[in-house]
Amino acid sequence: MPNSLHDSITIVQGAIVCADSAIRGAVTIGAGTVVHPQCQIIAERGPITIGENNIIAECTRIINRSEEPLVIGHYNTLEVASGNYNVIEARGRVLAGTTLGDFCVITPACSTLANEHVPDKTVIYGEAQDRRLQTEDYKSQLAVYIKHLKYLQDMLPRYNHLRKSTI
Amino acid sequence: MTAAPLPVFVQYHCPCHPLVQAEHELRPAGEPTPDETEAPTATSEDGPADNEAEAAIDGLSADVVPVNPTSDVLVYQTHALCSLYFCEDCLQIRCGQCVLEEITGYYCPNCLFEVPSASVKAEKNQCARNCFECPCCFHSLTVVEDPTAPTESARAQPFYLNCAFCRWSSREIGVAFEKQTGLAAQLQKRDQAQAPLKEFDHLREHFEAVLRANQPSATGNNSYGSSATGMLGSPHTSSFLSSLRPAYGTRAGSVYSPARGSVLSSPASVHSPGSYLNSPDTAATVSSVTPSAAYQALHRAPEPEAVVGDLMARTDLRDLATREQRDRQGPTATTSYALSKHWPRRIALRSKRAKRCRDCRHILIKPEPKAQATRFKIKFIAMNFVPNVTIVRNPVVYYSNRPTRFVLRFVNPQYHATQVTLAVPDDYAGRAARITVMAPAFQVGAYNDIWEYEAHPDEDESDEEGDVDDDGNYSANDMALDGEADDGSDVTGPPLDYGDGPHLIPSPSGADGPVANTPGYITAAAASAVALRKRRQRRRLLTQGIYERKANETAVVLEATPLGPISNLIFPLHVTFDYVLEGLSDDYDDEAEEGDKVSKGGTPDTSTPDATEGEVGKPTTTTQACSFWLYINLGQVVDSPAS
Repeated sequence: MPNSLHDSITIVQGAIVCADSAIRGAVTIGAGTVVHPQCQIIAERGPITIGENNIIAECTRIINRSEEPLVIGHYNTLEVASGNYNVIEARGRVLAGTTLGDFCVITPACSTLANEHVPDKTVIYGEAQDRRLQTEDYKSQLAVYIKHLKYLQDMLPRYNHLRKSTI
Repeated sequence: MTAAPLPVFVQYHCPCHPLVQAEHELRPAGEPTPDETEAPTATSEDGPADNEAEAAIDGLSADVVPVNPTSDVLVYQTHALCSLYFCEDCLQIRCGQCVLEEITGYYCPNCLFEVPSASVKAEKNQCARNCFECPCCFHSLTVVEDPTAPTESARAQPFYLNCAFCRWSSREIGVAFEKQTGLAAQLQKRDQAQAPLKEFDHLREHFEAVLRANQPSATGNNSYGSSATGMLGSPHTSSFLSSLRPAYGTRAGSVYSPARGSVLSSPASVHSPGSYLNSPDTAATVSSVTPSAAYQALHRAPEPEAVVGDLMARTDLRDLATREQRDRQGPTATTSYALSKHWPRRIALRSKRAKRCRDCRHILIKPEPKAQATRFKIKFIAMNFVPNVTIVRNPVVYYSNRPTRFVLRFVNPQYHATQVTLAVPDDYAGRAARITVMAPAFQVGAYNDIWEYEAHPDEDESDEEGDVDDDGNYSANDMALDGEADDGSDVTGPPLDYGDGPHLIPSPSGADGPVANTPGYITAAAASAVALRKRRQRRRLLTQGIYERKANETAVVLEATPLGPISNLIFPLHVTFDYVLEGLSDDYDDEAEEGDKVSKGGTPDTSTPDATEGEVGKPTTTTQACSFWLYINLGQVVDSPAS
């Protein structure tokens, strides 16, 4: 990575970051976040800050090519390559300059527009990238999410080498 | 003619189309066809095998070409091989339009429950269990439990429907359930209260009452129309309509479309549909039957003006349902534009269908009755019977008046070797090119399952022709396909140029050769002998117009001389192949089949030679000649560059 900053990876105590992942540049991973193997978190120019209790699934790519810091809040599920409590499913894409509100869902193969502010509770779905506002409170399903997170925090260290936390 | 160049295709013509038959009936029988006067001189000097070609072509005259290849109807009369069936009794290709469909069973695509056909109607063709589709994105809904609802009333009904895709929830429209089973029954109560359904039931009651009241008078009244006019001509209808008039006014008259009105044989039919109700004839008829009480509508649809006004006043379009979303709501909804008023719908049932030949009523397709099974009990699809024809080599573009060669591959799906005969008519409407068949008759080997696993097993093809005996893989890929016959010598000389270029399709070690039969290594001398032998065989095959022959495939060379620039060079090709009826005893009714074929006169099948006898030494198999038309698009023809 020719233009990358010096790797300054910060992994907070309690984060589960599998060793088999590519993390470059100034990346901060918050407590409780689970990073699966085969993820790429690459901060080419600006830093990437990932909050607490996120699930970053396999083959997710999070790339920051701009100078601005890329901030991912808490309780997000990223099944691919953002506020809080968002779900980005397989092959979903959040383009550069986009800000996701809270409780947003980007369903498989959907994408936001570049430099867009996606309001809270937006669901982007379907072939035509239709949008609707969900009324169902994601907090009501938080119990399931926590269960999922706990399971991953238990299971992943058994079968994967982990990166050591730096703080 | 379609102006835009289409992708190159090989389409199969189905002889069923009514237009084809109509065309044949219209044409006077004794009309001379132009091609009979003009012998196939254009093709006579081509290739060494043209004696046979002529023989095959002689049988074809212009009027057997079923469709003009440049006409627009070609699209509707020709089909891809994978969408066709094959009737073993008629020995005909059958398309989706010439089969009868019968429903063999209903099932829900979501829960795969097989619904007895007796209860399908009562359930309104929808799954009566727990299967619902999202009113927003039509994904199937799942039942979700939420025990942590804030209010007591919500906790009493903790179950709701949730869409995993677009996150629609039935709580958005205030629907929640106490139990997680039998949701359809809980929703059905609401369905039955819908105004259009109530109206329909009410209307039916009304009609039944009218029908009962007029029962005796209907039997005596035969003067009104023949049976073909049915209900329209009967006094019943008049009285139905007259009883509807107070409710719907003149709009009830619009039931009579002009087309239907003309069917009526009664005097009333001469009037325009609108005036039908008011004509004196009708009035007299109405008065002759028992007058019934006027129908009072229970429900009136909202006036369009109100709906339009509502739509015009909208500023937020997020809640506006799309056309598809409104259509999916079905008749139970009063076409609500507000998405927030749409309800989940029960998932529509699917049916499994058997297909029959329209002519002989034999079953062509019969699926397994179980919803989970995707197999078929009976499956007569054309791909298992008819040679699969593909274009193997084709120039990117054709030049007008320049003979150009291309290669067609015939793959035999049958377990028996088949003899394929090709023929091209000399002249026909919409002729775009002069086509010369280099190999008018050739053999295609039998299909063998083992080939799918083993590289190249031996093949016991009998030596009939004397020189196409071997089953090795001969490829002549270095043939001059774009045969630039500028000097004209190419066409009379050896048809193809054989170099020693590399084989595009490598032959798997020639396991049939005498050398390769010895296990172990092959000496260099032996290898060169094999190579020499192969080259000789290839040359021999090429003189017969056979480009390549392996396993159950034979590729043959054809030559096209386009007559002028055209965006799609489409030509008809008549193919006859031997179909082997297997394991049939001698009492099999051959004559019925012959009669069947003759009765279809006008279809190209009659132009083929009559069915051959069973093969010698195999009394239980009967060989039948089947034929069909191919329409092949070779692509674009442009003006030849100035030479």
